[in-house]
Amino acid sequence: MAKKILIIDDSNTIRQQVRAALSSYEVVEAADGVEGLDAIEGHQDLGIVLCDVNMPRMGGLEMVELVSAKGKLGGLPIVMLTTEGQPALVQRAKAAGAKGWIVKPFKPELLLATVRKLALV
Amino acid sequence: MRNPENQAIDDLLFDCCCELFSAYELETQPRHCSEFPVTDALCVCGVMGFGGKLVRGSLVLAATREPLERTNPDGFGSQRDWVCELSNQLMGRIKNRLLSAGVEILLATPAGLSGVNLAPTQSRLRAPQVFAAADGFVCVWIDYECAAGFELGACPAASPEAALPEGGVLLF
Repeated sequence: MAKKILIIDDSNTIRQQVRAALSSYEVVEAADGVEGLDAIEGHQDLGIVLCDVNMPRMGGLEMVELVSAKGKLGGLPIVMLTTEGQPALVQRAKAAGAKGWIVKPFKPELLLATVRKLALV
Repeated sequence: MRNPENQAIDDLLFDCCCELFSAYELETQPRHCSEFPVTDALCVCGVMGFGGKLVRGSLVLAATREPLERTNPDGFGSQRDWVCELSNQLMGRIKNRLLSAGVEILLATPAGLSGVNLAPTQSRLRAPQVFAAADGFVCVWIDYECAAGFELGACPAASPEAALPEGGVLLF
C-alpha cells in the first residue's frame, strides 16, 4: 500500500492546494502542531510530512523538535512549507532532523518533485 | 503609483505586493490612495501582527472578491482563509527583506475580518497602497511604530546570509 502524505498547515486553502498538487497520493491533514503530532503518532504509514512553521497552539519547528526528541522520526522525512525564509529558522529545522524547506508560494511541480524524491515508499 | 508620503517600510510593502501579485500572475496597476474602493466592495481582510526590537505593528491586506478568486482559481477554502494566507505570504516577504537589512521581526498568525465598516485613516503617512486588478481592487497598508532613531537601511546586517527566496526549495 502506498504511503500517505501528512500536510500540517493552519490554512485550509493551503491544505487543499497541496492535496490538488499531490492528487496521485493519499493525503491526510492536520491544522496545527498539536494535531500534527497526533497524526504522526497515529499513522504508521506516512511517507512524508509537509509542515508549516507559524501555526496556532504549536508551531512547526516546535513540533519537529518534539517529534525528534521523542525518537518518533524513525527516518520519516519532514519538509517545512512556510512563508519564512530566515536562515536561523532553516538551521533550526535542519538540526531537529527536517529534510527540506520550501518557501511559499510553492510551485506545484516542485512540491511534487520534492515528494517524489524524499517520500518513503 | 507609490504614495508620495511613503516611508521606507511603505516602499518595501509596495515592492513586496508587486512581487506577490506577480507570483500569482495577478496583473495590477497601482493607483492613488484616493481611489480606495467604497468599503462595501471590500470582501475580507487579512491582518498580520509583527514585532521586534526595532519595529512593530500590523499589516492589513483587504481585497474585493475578484482578485481573491483570480489568485485562488480552484476556489479552495474560504475567501477569509485565503486572504489570511495572502497576508501571511506578504508579511513573510517583508520579514525576509527586513532581515537582509538587519531588522529581525517575529510574526503572529494571521487574523481575518470582514471588510464591512472598514475605512482607511486619513493620515497621509498611513495611506493605503491601492492596486487595481483587471476586476476589483487590492488595498494594503502597514501601521507601525519604530524604536527611537530607527531608520531602515541604517542597520548593520544581522546575518550575512540572505533569506531563502520565495518559491525556492532547499533539501538538507
